Order: sequence, then C-alpha cells, then structure tokens
Amino acid sequence: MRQSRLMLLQYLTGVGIVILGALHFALLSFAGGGYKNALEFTSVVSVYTTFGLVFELFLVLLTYHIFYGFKRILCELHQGKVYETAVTWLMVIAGGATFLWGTRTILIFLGVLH
Amino acid sequence: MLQNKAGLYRGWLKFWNRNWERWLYTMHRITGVGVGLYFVAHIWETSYSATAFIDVSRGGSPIVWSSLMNFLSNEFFHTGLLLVVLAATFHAMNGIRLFMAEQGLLIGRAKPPTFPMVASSLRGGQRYLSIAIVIASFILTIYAFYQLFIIGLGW
Repeated sequence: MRQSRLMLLQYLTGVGIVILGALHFALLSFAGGGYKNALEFTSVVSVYTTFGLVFELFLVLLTYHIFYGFKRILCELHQGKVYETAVTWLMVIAGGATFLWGTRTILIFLGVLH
Repeated sequence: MLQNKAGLYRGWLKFWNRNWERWLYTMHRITGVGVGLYFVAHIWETSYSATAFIDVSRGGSPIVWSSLMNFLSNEFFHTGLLLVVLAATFHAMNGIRLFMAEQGLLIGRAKPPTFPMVASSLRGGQRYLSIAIVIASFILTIYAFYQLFIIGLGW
C-alpha cells in the first residue's frame, strides 16, 4: 500500500483512538464509580463482557497506530533498504503478537476461549 | 518517507533553541513512544484478569488479579500512570491539531513571504490551539491525579 494511504490510516486510527480512549478513561474514573471500584475484579469482568467488542476495535486501532508510528520513526533514520525491510517486519511481528495476546484476553471474557 | 538526515540528536532531540512548534513535534514523538511502550506492558498486565477469570470459572478465587493490583497500587506505579495520562492526553490532542493542520484547518490564509517570515502554522488559530492543548492536558492530568491518588490510594 502507498505510504500516503498508510499515513491517512494513521490519522484515522488516531481519531478512533481518541474517541475510544475517552470511553476507556471514563470507565476507569467517573463512569466506573471511581478508579478503585473500576479495578475491582467484578467491575473488570462486567466491563470486559459488556464492552468486549469495543475493546477489540480499540486494540486493532491502537496496534496499527502504535506499531506503524514506531516503524515511521525508526525508518526516518534511513539506514538503507535492508534496514527498512527489517524494521517493517519486526513491527509487523511485534504488533501481531501484541494484538493476539490482547485478543486472547478479550476472547476469554467473551467465553470464546477457555 | 521523511528522512532524518540530521541524526538522532540534532534531528529529533535538540529542540530547546527551536520554535514552539518544534517543541510540540519532539514532545509528540516522546509521548508517542512512551505511550506505545506502556500499551505493550498494559496488554501483558490486563491478561492477568483473564487468568483470574479462568480461575473463578473453575471454582477458585481471582487471587492472581488481586495480588497484581496490590503490587501496582502504590505511589511509584500511580506516578507512572499519571505520566502516561499526561503523555496520552497531550499526544491525542496534539494529534488532532496535526490532522487539522494537514487538512488546512485553522492555519489562516496564505500570505506572501515578507520579513520577518513566520510559518502560517505558527500564527493565529493553530498557535492558540496548541497552547490550549497543553493547558487541557494538564487539567485532565489533575483530574487523573484526583482519581489515582485521592480515590485510588486514599490520600
């Protein structure tokens, strides 16, 4: 995909993250009965089972935004084609692993994994 | 793709004798990397809740989660979270400002380059917006301080 498209995706995922991040912030504070209550185990279970799919979308947006951001920063050092390819693949693997580990948590709460 | 030919120090980190927008650029980078690294740790941390969920479904207690929360519930880690909130709110709002600038919003009308030459993005709406972003980040961080230290730690 062209770099301009990937960068547009970077901006759009950023906007999505701001919206879902605000929800996450709210659930951990005033909407969750205060920070201490929000981290009680029963509250965590309730939030995950209610907002599991929203969290999955949040995870997708964050994974792309963060690891593409890392890739851009590292590629700006311009160490050559091999370096750029290596950085790209490293970010794909690291992002993929992070995404899968986060998805595992959500799927367990949704009862898909045991 | 952009090339940082000036290197790590002069290209990214040496910003103290530059203009306001350059400060914002460097802070956007630093906060982005910081929040990105925290995200990876956060994914690992929250997976403990799933382990506890499995334990409870098998008739046990959420001891894994409770012990992790007890370990993290202190001034040291809450100060870290406070920095994450400051970084995340700044990065988010400055990102929206950059998106707006990219779309040509609030950068004013194009002017002929007359002395003293100042980029249009450093005047008018964008300049005020950037100052508002920094102030708003601190206000949200003060609210996070209330949640983390007053409510969370019972100060």
